[in-house]
Amino acid sequence: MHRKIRNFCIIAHIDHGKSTLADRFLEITGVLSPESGAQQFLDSMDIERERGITIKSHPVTLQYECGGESYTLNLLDTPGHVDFNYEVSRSLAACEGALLLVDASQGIEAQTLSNYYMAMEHDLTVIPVVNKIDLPQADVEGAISQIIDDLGFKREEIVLASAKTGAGVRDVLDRVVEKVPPPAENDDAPLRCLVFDSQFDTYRGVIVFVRVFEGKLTPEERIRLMSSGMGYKVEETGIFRPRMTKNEKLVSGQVGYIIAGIKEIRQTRVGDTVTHAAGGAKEPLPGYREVKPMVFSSIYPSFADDYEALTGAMEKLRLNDSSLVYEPDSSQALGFGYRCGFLGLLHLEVVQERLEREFGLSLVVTAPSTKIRVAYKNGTSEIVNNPMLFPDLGALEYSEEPYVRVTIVTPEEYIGNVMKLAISRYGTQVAMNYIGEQRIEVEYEMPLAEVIYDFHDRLKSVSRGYASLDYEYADYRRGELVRLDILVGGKKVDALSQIVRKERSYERAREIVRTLKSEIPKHLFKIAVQASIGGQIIARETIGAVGKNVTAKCYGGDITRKRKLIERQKEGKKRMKRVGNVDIPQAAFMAVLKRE
Amino acid sequence: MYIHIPFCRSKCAYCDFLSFPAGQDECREYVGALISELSFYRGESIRTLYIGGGTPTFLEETQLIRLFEAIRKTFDVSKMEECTVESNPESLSARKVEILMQGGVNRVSLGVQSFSDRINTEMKRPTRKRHTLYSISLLREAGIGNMGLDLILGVGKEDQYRKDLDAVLKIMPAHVSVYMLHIGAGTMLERMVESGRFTPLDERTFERLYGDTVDALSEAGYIPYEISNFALPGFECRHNQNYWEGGEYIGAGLGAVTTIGAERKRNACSMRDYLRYIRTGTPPVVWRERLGETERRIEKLMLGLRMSKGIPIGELNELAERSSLGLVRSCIEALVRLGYAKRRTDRLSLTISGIMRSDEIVIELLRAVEGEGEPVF
Repeated sequence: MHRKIRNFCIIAHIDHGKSTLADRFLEITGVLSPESGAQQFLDSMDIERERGITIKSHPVTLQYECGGESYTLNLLDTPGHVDFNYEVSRSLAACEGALLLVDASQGIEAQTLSNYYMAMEHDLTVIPVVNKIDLPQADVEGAISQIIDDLGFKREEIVLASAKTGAGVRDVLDRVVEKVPPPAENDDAPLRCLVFDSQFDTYRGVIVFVRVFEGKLTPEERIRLMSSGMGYKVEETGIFRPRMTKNEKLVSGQVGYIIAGIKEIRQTRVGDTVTHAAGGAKEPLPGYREVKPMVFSSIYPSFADDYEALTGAMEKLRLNDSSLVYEPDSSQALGFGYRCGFLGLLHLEVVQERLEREFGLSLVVTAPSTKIRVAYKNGTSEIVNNPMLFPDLGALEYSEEPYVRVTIVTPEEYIGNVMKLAISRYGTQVAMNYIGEQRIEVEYEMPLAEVIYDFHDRLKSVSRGYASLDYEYADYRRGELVRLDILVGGKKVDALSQIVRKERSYERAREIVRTLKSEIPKHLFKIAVQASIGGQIIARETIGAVGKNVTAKCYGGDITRKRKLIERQKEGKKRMKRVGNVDIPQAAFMAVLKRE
Repeated sequence: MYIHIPFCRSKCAYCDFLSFPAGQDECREYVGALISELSFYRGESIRTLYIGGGTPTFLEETQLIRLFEAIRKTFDVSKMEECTVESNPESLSARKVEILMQGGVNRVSLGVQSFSDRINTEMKRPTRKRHTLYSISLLREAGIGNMGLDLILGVGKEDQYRKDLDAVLKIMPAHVSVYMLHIGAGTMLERMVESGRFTPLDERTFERLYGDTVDALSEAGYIPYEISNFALPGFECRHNQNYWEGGEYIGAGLGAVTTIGAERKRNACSMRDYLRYIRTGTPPVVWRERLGETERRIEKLMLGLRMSKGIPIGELNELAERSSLGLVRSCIEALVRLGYAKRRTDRLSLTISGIMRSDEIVIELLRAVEGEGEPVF
């Protein structure tokens, strides 16, 4: 007898209503009452709710009645931002089906396409859903014809729904039961479970989220993680309803969790395969790929005393965010910190915000850079992801930087602006297609470094928010790159060094010294702010000495007030970073990071 | 002891003190309450008394008499060395000067601020040049030799300030105070600056004029003993010196502050609250703080460096942890090198340009004392 299970996920472009649809599912199946307060149950982090994005996958099990039968529907929510494609792929690998959500007012976007292709690669049954049909500006027919013309679906395969009003939501679930194939069952084969996520619990250790493909697993059994070879004894298994609920065993086809006394968070790798320690599977499940960070930045605590707290916070974050990689780093200016690799700039921002908000840390984050391949004059070469390590011109033969293939979908009236922007970022156009009648998909190859700063923001602003973006790694190409150093008060501030394109270096240098001049407060002496390449100064500003800072009157009643004033000023200085004899505020580091 | 009289004829544009115009009924009620408050300290022996404001001489004659009588009856004044009353020229009369003399006042601090009627008008001051000259002659005739004149540097343009300074030097009072204009938050002056009706002097002119003031007064025989205070030898204000040396003091009246031992407390700043406390027989204290080691350290530095004699370097080293002695030394060296401080025998004091940046310097020294940061400049 088939277990009445369906494993599915929702894929969509950002803001197309994924989390709201998931909330409706929870209501319909009685897990959540419509009045129960916080919206978007699955986006449990504040940042997710505020930014309207999902960063982590939260599995949830729903019991749904259909045609007189009760089905177990396992919904795996997926992140909706371009930076988190790997997290999407892990969830897809654990499913048999996917809902492809398209906003009726927006139509197909860049990520709709990339997610669809990814679902096809995983052989998933895709159910297209046109969402937000209640919006006054909805163009339902337009969205339908795009799905038919560009993705090759038939009209009758498309479900119309409004996650907001609840219209059509039951149809969506009915269609999941009807179309998504039940998982293959093979309880007798050697155990193979896919790890698609994990969480850290202070009391129970690591909780591993798995999809069982073959075999069965009960508490007390010994398991092995196939990539590391580490063995553990299972303490508890269970499923998500939607909170974690203990059960007697996990069997093939199910989505659930394992608690096995895993204490070291580094030992669980998302994408890994869990099997039995004895008589386990010979081959791991396919589809595991090493996470490849694209963007690198160093994170330092604002106060050196917080280094240990930062270390603990980073470890905890990495448990829930397998895409985050880091290693110890140190700077003369900023002390001890971590060099971190991120999937993209949004990922960086999310990690920074979580560190600051959830762990109460105050941070200095250096300018993001990419991984540069450096060839030296002596014939050797290496990969450099830290500007501090980029060689001086004398030792450098040539350097190569990563390029990406950028896909942009835009209404045709903005194509001129989009092209101008892409060209200014050294983009080379490689393809251009119409989607429907009014929208254009255009592809560029451009340096990743040009994309990671503020390309997305700029794209949104030149297209009044309409153009959408996706990108994938292409290859390494030669670039005229140099290391731009910043000196404050004659001392190099290593953390401010940046790798920049040579032709942009003067402009960038002037921008940075100007920014620093306005951000660094006056001291008791003049301060030179300089930018240099290979020891040659190419830009300079001078910060004048403090002119006047004196309390004219100070008598009995003024003493406390005056003292507090001094205490406040002193605290302000304490929060700054002292480089040589200059106090540099955190804001100065941040301001240099941003580009105008 | 300090006694606060918060009343004035009108509020000057730059004033951010606890003072306001009032009717004589309100003044009478206040003096009554003040006298009740004084009785909390009955029997104290007072070395210096400073009656400040506001404008204490704004009180009518009978209230002044009443106040001085109460002081004589409540305290032991046999060891009184100095008794100062602040005054604004337009509020003095021959009769009031007589009352002050009879009340035991031996020092009057006169708020001249500027001799220019144009500037006084612009600053919404009720004082005119004729008032000032008349008051000075009254005080002289009455034999109050210990007279202080206050000027404000920055209310007028450079040439007017030089005229004011010259005028003071012709009068040669025993004591001169020169305050650098501060544009306080919430003052009328702040609004005048915002709306472009008043342009403050630039920082360089401030520094130059302040330096010239120190030079001119020194040459005339005055000792620049504190940032804003200059005295002919022997006429330094003892009451104020006690503040800067970290001494104890009692404050009475609206918003007055008292520091005894490690405790500092302040009276209510709202007249209604103050009067209510006194009516119910409770001390009108609304705020207290304990001065710990850190607070004392900061105050010692910031007050000590206000005085031209500065602070003993040994004391600075005592404040510091053993491990930060090197930092303190290099900080002092840097301050001397930059021309902000000078070392004389074993004391550290500020130069003119150091005084202009004294708040900044105090912070740097504090950070060194606290062993904070890497090698200081």
